[in-house]
Amino acid sequence: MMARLFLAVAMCFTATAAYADNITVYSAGSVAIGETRQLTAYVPLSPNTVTWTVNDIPGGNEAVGTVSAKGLYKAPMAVPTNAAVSVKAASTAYAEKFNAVTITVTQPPVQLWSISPSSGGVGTLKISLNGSNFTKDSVVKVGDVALATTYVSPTSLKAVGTATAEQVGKSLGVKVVNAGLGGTVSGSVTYKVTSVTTPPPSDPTTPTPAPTPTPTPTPTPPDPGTGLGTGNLGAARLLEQATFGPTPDSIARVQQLGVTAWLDEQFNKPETPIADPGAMNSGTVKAQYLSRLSMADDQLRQRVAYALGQVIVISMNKNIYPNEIIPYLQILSRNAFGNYRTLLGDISTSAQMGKYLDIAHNTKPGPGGAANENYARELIQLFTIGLMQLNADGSPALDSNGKTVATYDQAMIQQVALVFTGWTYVNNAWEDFSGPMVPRDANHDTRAKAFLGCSLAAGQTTTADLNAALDCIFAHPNVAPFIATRLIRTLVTSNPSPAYVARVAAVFNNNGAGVKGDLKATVRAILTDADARNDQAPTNSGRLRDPTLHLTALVRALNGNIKPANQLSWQMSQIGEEPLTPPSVFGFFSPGYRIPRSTLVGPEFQIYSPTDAVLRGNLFWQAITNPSSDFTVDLSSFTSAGSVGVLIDRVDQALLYGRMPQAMRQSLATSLAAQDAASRVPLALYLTALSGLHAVQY
Amino acid sequence: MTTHHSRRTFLRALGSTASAAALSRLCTTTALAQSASDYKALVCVFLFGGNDSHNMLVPQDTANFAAYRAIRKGLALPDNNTKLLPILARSGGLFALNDGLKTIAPLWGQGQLAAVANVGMLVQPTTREQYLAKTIPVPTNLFSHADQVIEKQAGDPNGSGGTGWGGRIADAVQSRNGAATFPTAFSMSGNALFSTGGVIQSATLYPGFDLSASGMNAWPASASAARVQALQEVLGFDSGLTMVQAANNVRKDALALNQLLKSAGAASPLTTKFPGTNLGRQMEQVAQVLKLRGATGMSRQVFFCSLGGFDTHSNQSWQQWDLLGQVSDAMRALYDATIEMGIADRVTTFTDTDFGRTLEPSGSGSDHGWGGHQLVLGGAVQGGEVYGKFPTPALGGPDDANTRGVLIPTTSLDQYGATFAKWFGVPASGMAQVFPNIGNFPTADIGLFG
Repeated sequence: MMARLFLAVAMCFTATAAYADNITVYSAGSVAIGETRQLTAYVPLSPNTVTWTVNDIPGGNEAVGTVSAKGLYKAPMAVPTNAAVSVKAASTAYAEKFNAVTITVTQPPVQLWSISPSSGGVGTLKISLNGSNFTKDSVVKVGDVALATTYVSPTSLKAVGTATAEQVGKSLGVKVVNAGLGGTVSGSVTYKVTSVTTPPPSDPTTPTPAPTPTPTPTPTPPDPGTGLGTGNLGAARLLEQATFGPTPDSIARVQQLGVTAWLDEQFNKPETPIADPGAMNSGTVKAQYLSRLSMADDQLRQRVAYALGQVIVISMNKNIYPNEIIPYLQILSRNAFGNYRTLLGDISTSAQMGKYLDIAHNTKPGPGGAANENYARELIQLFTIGLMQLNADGSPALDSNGKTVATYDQAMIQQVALVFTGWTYVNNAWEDFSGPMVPRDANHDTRAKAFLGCSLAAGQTTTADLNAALDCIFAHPNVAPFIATRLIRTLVTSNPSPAYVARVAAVFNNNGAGVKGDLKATVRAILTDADARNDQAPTNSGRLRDPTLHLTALVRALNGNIKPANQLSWQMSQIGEEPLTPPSVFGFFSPGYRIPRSTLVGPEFQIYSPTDAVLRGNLFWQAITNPSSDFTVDLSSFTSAGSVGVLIDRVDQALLYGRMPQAMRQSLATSLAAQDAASRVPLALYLTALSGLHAVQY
Repeated sequence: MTTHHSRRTFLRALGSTASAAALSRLCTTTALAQSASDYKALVCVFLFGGNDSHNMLVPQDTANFAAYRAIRKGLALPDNNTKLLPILARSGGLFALNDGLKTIAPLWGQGQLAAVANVGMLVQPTTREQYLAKTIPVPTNLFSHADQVIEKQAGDPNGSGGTGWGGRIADAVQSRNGAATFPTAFSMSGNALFSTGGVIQSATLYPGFDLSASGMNAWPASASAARVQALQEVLGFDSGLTMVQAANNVRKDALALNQLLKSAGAASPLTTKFPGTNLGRQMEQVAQVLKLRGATGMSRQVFFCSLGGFDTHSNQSWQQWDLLGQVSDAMRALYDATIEMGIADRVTTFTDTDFGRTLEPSGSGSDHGWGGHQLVLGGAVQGGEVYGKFPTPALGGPDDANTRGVLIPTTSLDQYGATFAKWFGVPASGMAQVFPNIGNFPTADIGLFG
C-alpha cells in the first residue's frame, strides 16, 4: 500500500546511528541567511507528534533561525556567531525520544560561472570572473594560492596572480572563496596554462587573442567562444514538456506561432491511428510504440497519453498479447484531450483492464465471502483519489492532531469491490479482447452499497452501479489535486509549488464552462502556467527524464527518430523501462519516490541507478555512432560546423538550448582538441548527453 | 516475469585500483571504520516458473513415502533420471533431497543447509475448511504466474505497494550503513521488485558488466585521457540545480563503481570457482560485491538472483534435476566463497518461487499450486532441519486446497521473510512495515537462526 510506502519514504538517512524505534530527522545541510529548509521527522511512535526547537529554543528565534510546527526551518537574516545550529524534533509523549540535525547557516552561496580569459601563458595571470553573490570579502584562489582580488560588483571580480613554468600544460582549478562568518566556496572552473609566454592584456575583459600555433606537445585548446545565447530556450522548454523532445523544426514552429497558438495547433492535429492488433506479435507492439512516440505528428497527444499511461497502468507482463494491450493504448490516445470521467468509464469496462486487475469474471461473493478487490483498490488509490485526504493545492489535509487522514479503509474497498461484480468478456468467452466487457446481471451483487458518502440503492444493474460508483469517486475533492500533481510531475516538474497545483486543480475542477475533468483545459493550464514557463530555473525545479523520454529527446534533437522496426525492447528493459511492461500497477517508478538523501520527490530516480546511467549512456553512444536498424539520426548540422567552437555552439543549442556553462564549453573544447577530427562530433554530443544538464528537463 | 541474457555486454574486468577520488562519493572514513565488525547480506534465489518442491524434498518415512508414490505415480522419485539423497532432520524426520542438489547436500549434514516446509503466500492462517467455504481472505490470483511473482516479491497478498520485501528490509536497516552511499540492494537479474524499497533503490548489476562506459577509449592514449577528464569535469560542475546535481551524482557513482568492480576482479581474485551458468555468474557477481564490503563500508546488503525454467508442465524429471543442479552448484560456490572471505556466518542465501505445484501429476509434469518447500543456506543457519509443518501427502487431505494436492501454506511468506529480517537486524517494532500482515500469524520467527 502506498501508506506503507510513504512511511518507508519517511525513514531517513542520517550520519548519526538512528534505529527505527527512535525519531529520525532529515536532513542536515546548509541554509543561506533568510532562506528556508523543510525538515522532516520520522516518528515511529504513537502518538507521533513532536515539538521542534532550534538550539533548544522552542520554535527558535531571530538570532538562530525559526522552525515551524511542521519543521520548516527559516535561517536568520544574519549568520549567528556559531553558524552551526541544532534543530531538534522531540516526542511530545516520550522524553527520551528525540533527534536533531545540524544546519549550517551561511551567507548567500557564492557561485562562479565563467572566467576570461580561460587560458594563458607563463607569467602574470590576469582574469575576470563572472558569477553571483561576490562580496568585498571574496578571494579568488588557484588551488590553495590566493590571488590579488578586486571586487567590481556582486557578479564580477578581477584577480591577478602568476602562472609558473611548472604549471604549463595543466588545467588549474579556479574558485572564489567568500571569507568571513558563514562564508561559502564556489565550484571550480579551469584555467589552462600554455607554454606561450603572453604579455598580459592591458584589460583582462578583452579576450586573449588566439595564441600563435607553436610546436608544443600539448595543443592549445581552441577558444570555445561564449555561445549563441538562449534565444531558443523558451520554445525548447515548452517542447520538452509537451512533446518527446524539441526538434529544429518544432522549435521554429513554436517561435512562429507562440505558445497558445502552437497548443491550439497540437490540440487540433488529427490523432495518429494506432493499428489494430491483427497478426502483430508483442515485440512489434513494443517497437511500434517507441517509434510512434518518437515521430508522431500529434506530439502533444502522444505525450499526454504517455502521462496518463503512467497513472492508469496496464502491463504486458500480464497482458502479454497485442489485443490485450492495444485497445488500452487506443483508449488513452482517444481520451487524451477528452474528459477524465469518460476515460475512467472506458478503462473500467475495457477487456484489457478487465484482465489486468480482475474485473472480468468478478462474480458476486457467496455468504461470508468477498468480491475481488483488485480494481476497487487501485481505482481509488492510484487512478483517482490516492491514500490521503488532500487540500486543493495537493498538500495533505491534516486532522487536529496534525496527522494525515486516510481516504479509505478495507471495509470501503469491499463495498466498492461489490460494485465491480458481474462483468465478463464478450461472446460468452473465457477471454475475448475484441471489445469492451459486457455486464451479466446474474453475477452482479445487487445489495445496497455505501462508500465515500455515496449510497447505491439495492437492485441496480451491473452497469448502473458502475456508472454511479465512478460518478461518486470522480466527485471526490481529491481527484483534481491528485491528478493535477501526477500530470505536472510527468510533464513539467517533480516538485511543483502548491500554488501551481492549486491553479491546475482549479481548472480540472472547472474548465470555465462548469465542466470537471476537461483534460484539454487541464493540459493547457499545466503548460501555460507561469511556473512552467519560467525559463530561469529555480534551484529545485525540473524532473529527471525517464529512459524513454531521455532517448527520444536525444534522437529528436539530432533531427531523427526511432525506427518502426527497432529492436530496442531488450535494451530498454535493461535500463528499467521495457516498453509497455512496467513491473506492477504502480508503474515503472513510484510517484512518491524521493531522491536519496533529499527531501525532494524524484520519481524517475528510482530507476536511475549507476548501472542504469551507464547503460543509458551506452545506448546514446550507439544511437549517435551506430544508429543501424534502430535509429535514424542526422548529424550533418554538426559535421558541417568546421571549428570546435562552432561545433560546441551547435551541440549547446541542440541539447541544452544555449545554457551550456562556460566552464563546460572549455572542458569540451579541451577534450575535443585532443581527438581526431572524425571523433569530435560524436564525442561532443555524447559528453553533453551524459551531463545532468541533459538528463534533467528544467 | 522473464529473464533474458542474450545481449549482455561481457566486458572483462581489467586491472586497476580504485582511486581515492573515485571512491570518495561512495564511502566515507566513518563508514570504513564501521564495516569490519558488522556485516550481513541476504541473497534471494528466485526460481521463476514455480518449482515443484514435492520432488525437491521428499518424505522417506514409510507411510508418507508410500502415499507420495501412490499419488505421483510416474512422477515419483527416484526414477531413471533422478536419484534421491537420504537426509535426516535433527528433530528426527526421514527425508531425501533430489540428487540434482548433490553439491549442497553435504552441507545438510554439516548443519549449514536447512529446508522450510510448505511456505507460501497467505493473508492469515488458513485451513482447508476456511478456504473451501471462502470465509476468510486469501491472496488474489493464486496460481497465476504474473500475479504470484509480484505478490511473492512484494510480500503482499494483493501485490500492492510498488516495493519488495527485500527492499523494505534494506529500508529498515539503512541507518546501519551510516553515511556510505554504495548501493544497498542489488538485483543481478534485471529490474526486480524484490529489491526495490521505499527509500532504497534496487541497483542492477549485470554479471560481467563492470559499468564501463562506451566511447571513452580512443587512440592515442592522450585522446582517451582527454575524454575521461572531460567527463569528470562535465559531471563536476555545480549547476546550482538540485535535480541536475543528483543526476550527475548517479553517474559519478557509476564511475567510482566501475573502478571498484575492476579492482574487485583484479586484486587477489577469489580462488573459489563459480559455475559458468547464468545463475553461477550472478552469484559470482554477488561474491564480488561481498568482497568490496571493506572498501565501501557497507554493513547490510540485499541481493536478488534468479533462474527461470521451473514451469514444468511436462518432461519434468530431467529438467528439474538439471535446474536444481544449477541452483545447487551456484549456491555452493557462493557459500565456499563466503568461507574463503571469512564471512560464511554473515551471508544467508534462500530460495523462493512463484508457487508450489500440484502433488497430482499432469502427464509428465505438474500444474500450478500454492505452498512449497524452500532451501536456506549459510553459516548462521541452524541447518540439518526441516522447519515448519511438513504437509500430509494426500489428495483432498487436510493440507489440500482442492483435490489435486494444492498445498495450503502452513508457513506464510511473511514468517519466512520476517525470520531473515530479524536476523538482519530489523527490530520487532519495524517488522509490520516490512510485512504488513505479520501480525496475523502466531510467530514472526520460525527459528532458522536458533
